[in-house]
Amino acid sequence: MVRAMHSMLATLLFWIVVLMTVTAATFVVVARNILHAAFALAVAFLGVAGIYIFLHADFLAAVQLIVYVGGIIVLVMFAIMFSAHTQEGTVEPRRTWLALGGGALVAGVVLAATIMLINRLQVPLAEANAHADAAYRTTASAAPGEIALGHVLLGEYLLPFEVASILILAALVGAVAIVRKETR
Amino acid sequence: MLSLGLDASAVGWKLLPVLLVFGAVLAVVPLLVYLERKVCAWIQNRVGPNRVGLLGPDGLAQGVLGFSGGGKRILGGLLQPLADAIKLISKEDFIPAQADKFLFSLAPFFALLPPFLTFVVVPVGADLTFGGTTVPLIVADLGVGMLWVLSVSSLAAYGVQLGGWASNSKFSLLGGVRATAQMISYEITMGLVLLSVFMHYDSLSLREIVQAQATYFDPLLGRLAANGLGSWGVWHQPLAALLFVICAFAENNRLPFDMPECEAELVGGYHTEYSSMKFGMFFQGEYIAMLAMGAVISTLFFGGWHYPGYASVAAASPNLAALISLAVLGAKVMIFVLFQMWVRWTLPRFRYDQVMELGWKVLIPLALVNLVVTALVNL
Amino acid sequence: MPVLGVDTELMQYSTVFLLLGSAVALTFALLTLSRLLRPYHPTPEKEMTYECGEDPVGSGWLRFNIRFYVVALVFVLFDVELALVFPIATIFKSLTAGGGTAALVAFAELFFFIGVLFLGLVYIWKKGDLGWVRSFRVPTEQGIRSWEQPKQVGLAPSSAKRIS
Repeated sequence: MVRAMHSMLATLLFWIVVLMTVTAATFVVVARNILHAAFALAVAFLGVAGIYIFLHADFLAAVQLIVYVGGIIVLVMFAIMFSAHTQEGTVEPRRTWLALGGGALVAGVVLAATIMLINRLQVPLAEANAHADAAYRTTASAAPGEIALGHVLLGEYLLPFEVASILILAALVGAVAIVRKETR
Repeated sequence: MLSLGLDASAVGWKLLPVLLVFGAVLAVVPLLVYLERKVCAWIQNRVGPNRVGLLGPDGLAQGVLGFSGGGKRILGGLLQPLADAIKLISKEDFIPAQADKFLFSLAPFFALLPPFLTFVVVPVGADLTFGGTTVPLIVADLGVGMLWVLSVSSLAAYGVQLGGWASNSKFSLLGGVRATAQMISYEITMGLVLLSVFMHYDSLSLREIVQAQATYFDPLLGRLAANGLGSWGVWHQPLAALLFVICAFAENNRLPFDMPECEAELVGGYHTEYSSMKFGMFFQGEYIAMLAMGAVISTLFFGGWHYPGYASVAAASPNLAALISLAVLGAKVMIFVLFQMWVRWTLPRFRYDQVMELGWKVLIPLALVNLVVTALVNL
Repeated sequence: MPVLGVDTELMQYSTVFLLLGSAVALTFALLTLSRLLRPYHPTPEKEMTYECGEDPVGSGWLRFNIRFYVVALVFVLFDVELALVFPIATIFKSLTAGGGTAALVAFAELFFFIGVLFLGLVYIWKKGDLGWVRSFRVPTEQGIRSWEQPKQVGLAPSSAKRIS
């Protein structure tokens, strides 16, 4: 009974998180005030972190919070506060037919692809979930995700890992150089 | 059926740490406000709040019951936090006409909730045992452990940034932007310090980190010794401890890093326009953050709830040992809270350029060096 | 269909939500109590923002120094690096426990990663992007302006120093 209650609670929490994510994401698109949109994006990212937790990807959820919510949105907000056109925070959306049609087209393609993907994965996904659930229950304390991740990063994916550092260096140098050019 | 019954009580016991943390924070925060005012008065050779007490002239007993208690003030000022709370609750709350009202009302939540959530992964005491059920005194032993603290502290930046921006006031905006830039700068150092801490303890979990500080290798005895102070993280990671404490000050926006507030130049910074309970939430958030940082620092570097002699007490009575461990962690946290107050009322404020240069040009290189040295030591 | 969240890990998070919920409930209770008790007599003067007793000049949403933006930019990149190194720091001891070349290789890999990060730091340091005190010129609608000048909100931009 307790188990059933817990799974009910978890399902309820899951739907709260999903609703929060979708509502916030919708708000990002329709918000008039660009800073509100940025904040809504932060809430949407928070929701995505919650979904990662439901997928047992705790480490990914923490990274999502640290990098996206704590870093990238702050950067976006700084950019908004710095830019000239948004001094009062609001922007007039340009609702042309081209923009609407293009947006609808992209949304339709993504939706169709998602539905196709879900249809194709349905059975394996359920199986994988069952396996993962069983595996997780026995090893929850023994091997958290980040430990497995660490082994993979220093083993199988060593080269991409080291290349990533150079990529980040390039991004750092490039981004700072562009800002410097703008300001001098 | 029996197993279901046990399950139910296990779920019930899980509420205990939540209640404990919630209750302790609520009970201690008003006391901290009083303590801060008394400590600052003592440092500045003043008396501090000494009127609003229970007995004596100006006391609650006289005001309500007409009982003067012989004209002597006993514990005068102790009820000052209560008076402050009543004042904050009953003050008029005005929002600037040009402000962004939604974000203005939302920002205080981001100042109050993240420090509350920091406590989630902090083990506040040894396990209690009730009739075969072991109750770990930790709200949730999350797999991500200390990374949770880092995640929620990155949320805290939103309180100051949104509060500063939504006020539509120049002082607030400057304070908010300064605070955000300062918090993210010091968060890098904090992350780098945590890398070497994780490397040293070989774990992210604060529970395991406390356990790791329970035993240490005694070179005199030539074997593992239990429950000594010698296993405290601060002896093994002294530089990390120092850097972490500095970053904790910067993350909490406490003096000497109170750039976002800067009474003298920014008249309160991001909360210039806040009044009534919304200001109260920022205020409470600061004190909860002090407690949270004290708890994290003592857990990472000063043995957490562990104390010398724990093993022998636990052998006699595990629950007594657990209760003592609660008190021990409480004492350690109070020491760090007092340290934060001492620093606040002793040091002058940095200039903003000094804060940024300290963060980027001194602390980050030091943290990187510490990381490489830790890696070399563990090679 | 697998049921979500019957395992212990999600039960852990349910207590997190409980603590969060209690804190939110308490805050709402205090705000509601305050709403019931406090007076409300707004006047235009009260709803003005504070500006040293004068009427506020112009909008409070002024643009600020781009250096803050640079800080946030560099922060994001460092943050990504950190996120990648966290899993490795956690298993470093178990990697090096065996000793020998495996340990050296693990150290070399970590050192390389950190070294590249440090290189980035040295680069922006040498190029002066970390220095806070310096003269900065930013293009605005009125042309290029030195940041050493005061902001001139709402005033004629007469005293703004123009460069070329």
